[in-house]
Amino acid sequence: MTRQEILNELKKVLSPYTLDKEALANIDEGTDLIKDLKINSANLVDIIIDAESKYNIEIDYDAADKMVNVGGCIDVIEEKTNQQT
Amino acid sequence: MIKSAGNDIIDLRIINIERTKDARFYTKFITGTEIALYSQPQLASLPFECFVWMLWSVKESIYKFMQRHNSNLIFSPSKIVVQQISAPADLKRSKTPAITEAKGFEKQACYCSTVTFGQDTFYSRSIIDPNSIFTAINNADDFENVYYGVEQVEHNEPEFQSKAVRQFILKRLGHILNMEPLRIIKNTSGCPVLYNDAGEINIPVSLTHHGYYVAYTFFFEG
Repeated sequence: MTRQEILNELKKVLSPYTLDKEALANIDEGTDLIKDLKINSANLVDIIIDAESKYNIEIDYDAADKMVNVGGCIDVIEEKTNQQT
Repeated sequence: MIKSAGNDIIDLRIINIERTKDARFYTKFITGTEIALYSQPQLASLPFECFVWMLWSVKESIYKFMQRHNSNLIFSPSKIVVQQISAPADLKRSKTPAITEAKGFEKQACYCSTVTFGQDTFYSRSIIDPNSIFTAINNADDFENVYYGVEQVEHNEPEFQSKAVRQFILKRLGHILNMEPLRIIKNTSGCPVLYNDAGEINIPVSLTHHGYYVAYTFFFEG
């Protein structure tokens, strides 16, 4: 998967947790989940769990810490899916 | 000792209880030694989902407290470790909502915890009612100068919550400081800062919202 493909799929993971659908449609790697998408921090673990399920990966403590913006989420998903292949 | 403020609110009516109880969920931010704390007899009447979200709110509050002085701080909940928890002596989960404005926690039935983050130690007070968990943090086991407020709001949209919590805290601060107009602006790292027309006011504030609750905390030696 390319980073752009991961980004497109990531929108579906993030969608249940943001009311700002316009911001979601326009995300890029610099988009901050809390500041830009107004996602409540209480949902950050939900996003990690949903990403694990979607990509059949396991996200550990250190990797989870990076998932605060879109670029960080893509880094983690890319790294973990590459480890499987 | 640095002066700051950190708090968090959880609306228990919108959490996913089933997911919360799933080890795959809570082990993302709660360590093994913290899970062991739940087996102490004084927490027997606390539902596990409340335990999990109380620990989340404690960790989130400490992150906010520290982020004011370290804008590059990364939220690493597993590195913020709850070392001990005590339940209120008169343990009866309140049947009325914990909607309140107060200073200090002496009159509140609250859970108290001691927490470490690196070399630093923090203390928390959490008020838990059937609908919400509110937590405030300090870096001393003394909340005499910690002011806080919790209220319910009609809408859960972030913009509405953001306005509502600002109105809530500024009304209280306006009364206490006898100073207007006050406003709160987030700095570049997302940390709320209090201002009046003359500039920044050195009173650390912390804002939180979740679901249909908003809450504030500020530290003021008045």
